[in-house]
Amino acid sequence: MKVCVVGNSHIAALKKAVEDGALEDADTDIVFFGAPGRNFNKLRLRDRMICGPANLQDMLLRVSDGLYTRIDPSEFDVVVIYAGRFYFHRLLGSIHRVLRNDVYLSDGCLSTGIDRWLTSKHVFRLTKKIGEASPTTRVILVPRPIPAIGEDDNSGSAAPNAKSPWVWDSLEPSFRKKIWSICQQSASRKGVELFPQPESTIDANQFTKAEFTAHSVRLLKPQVKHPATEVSHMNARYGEVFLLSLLAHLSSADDHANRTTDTASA
Amino acid sequence: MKNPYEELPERSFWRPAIAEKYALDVSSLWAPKYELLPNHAVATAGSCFAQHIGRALVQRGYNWIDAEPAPTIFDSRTKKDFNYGIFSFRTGNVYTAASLRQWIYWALEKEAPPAEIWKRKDRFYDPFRPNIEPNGFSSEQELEDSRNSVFCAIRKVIAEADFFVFTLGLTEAWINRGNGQVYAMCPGTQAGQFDPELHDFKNYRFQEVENCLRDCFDTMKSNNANLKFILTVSPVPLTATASCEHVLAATTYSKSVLRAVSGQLRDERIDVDYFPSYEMITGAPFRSMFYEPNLRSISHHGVNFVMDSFFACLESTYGPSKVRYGGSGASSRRRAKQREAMETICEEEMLDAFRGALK
Repeated sequence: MKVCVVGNSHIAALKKAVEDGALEDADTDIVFFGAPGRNFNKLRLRDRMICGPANLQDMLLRVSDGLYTRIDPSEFDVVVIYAGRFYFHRLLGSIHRVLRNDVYLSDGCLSTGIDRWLTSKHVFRLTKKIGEASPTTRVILVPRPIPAIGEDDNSGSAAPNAKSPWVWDSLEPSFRKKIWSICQQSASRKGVELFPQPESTIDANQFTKAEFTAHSVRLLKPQVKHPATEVSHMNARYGEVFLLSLLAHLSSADDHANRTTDTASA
Repeated sequence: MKNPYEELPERSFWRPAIAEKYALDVSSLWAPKYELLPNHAVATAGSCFAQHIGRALVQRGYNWIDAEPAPTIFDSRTKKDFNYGIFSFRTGNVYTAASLRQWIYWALEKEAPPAEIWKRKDRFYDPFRPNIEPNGFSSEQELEDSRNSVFCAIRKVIAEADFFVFTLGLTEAWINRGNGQVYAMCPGTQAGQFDPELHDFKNYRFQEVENCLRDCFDTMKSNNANLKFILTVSPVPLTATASCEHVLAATTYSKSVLRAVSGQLRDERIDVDYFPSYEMITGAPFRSMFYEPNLRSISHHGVNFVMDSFFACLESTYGPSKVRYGGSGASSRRRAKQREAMETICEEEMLDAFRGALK
């Protein structure tokens, strides 16, 4: 099976896992492609190829180990669009915050709000276009991993010490699963398959277990470690768990037409 | 000895205050009773024009209470479609004083909450805010859960607010003959079915409006003794009247009663003030310049004039407030966004859709 993982800095965990031999026993050829940070949003689908602007060529080559400056999705069995700015945890936290304050959101409001949020994302639109342009390739969108503790990104905020609106202390797994299910239904209606963060990587408070962020690696400078306070990027162990989970899902869901129906277990 | 007029300020005389001024230079229309500071918690409710007040407070960095917010991550279109962030609580437009009293009584359990629910096909509608969800609720339970959320938000507003700004819109309403409950709209217009045996037209008189407002204020103050009230009257004319009068005469009646009651309460109660947004739009000096071509909708210039006057009057009385201000220096993009945001949600306009039935 030929798999291409397209993403931003978060694919470093998956790439390192492969480099460390996580998929040695699997009959899978895996290619990494993408660009970290805001550069990911410069990726486009042109002439049925995933590509970036000229000033991104060096970066794309480095990420793909000198192999690709553009990707033809139809050459792969599976294309995984990984992370980008698909912040599922921010959606989760933002909804949780108002519900915790006794505000009621109807099913109609939840599904409309989530639908519009999801489809406004560059990464979602890119995934949808790739899927439409490459009908024989299975295209899967994966959210960013949930941070290991409450992410507190207040850059540019007038109140830098205030907690971001998506931070929670603790929430119920059933709530996370419900919101994920709405995301899946919304994506499915538009022909996009979502695949969740593996359940085994999530702790009781619905953050990623801390063990998966220790010694996380960078995409372009693997030798430079993230600071110890980094809680968003994952390590090679996480990459291994994710890839094994993905491969198990791919092998268990042979029916391409049913690809969007049974991943509500997140 | 001087006569009483000799020592009055310029604003008391028509010629210097109005006739000799360009309309947009007319100022000091309001002498606020109380200073409204950026840290004061301000709640807003009322007819469609009231939507501008909350927005203006937020844009100027004031502490507007949104007791029933949508998730911040949702886009502005979703929030607007589902009536979040419009008023301090999610009642939709509250056009009459009787309707406000009803919501407060329900929230504070002075009256039992309504049992009536309207059904159309497989969707459920709240007769007291039929437009609150674009396609109604999926079940009676969902509707009741949402209603309980409003009651909770109203209680929160009453407990936390320093100022409650209420914009009076109409004297006309439709009520349930059996239990006296006041509908948000005539049944059968947005949802529900009109039944002449059950539904009765009511055009509230001065004393009734005054009593309703006194009941509201006294009830709210029994839960928050420090609460103060600012009344305004919407300058938006009636879309339609069921009074058998001409719509212009009916508008004059409605607005006159509401304006007179506001003045009476402002004069009699230390905790009530009146802000003359009505006069700033409808007054002869302004020559209807703030109306859109339909002579009903208020242009964004009119809204800006009213809200700029609101803050200017506070400043001229109490001095400048140090707040974050997105006003005159705003970019054209921001101004365009503000104009978009100024598009109000006005269920009453739905009545215009029934005009054809009269032909």
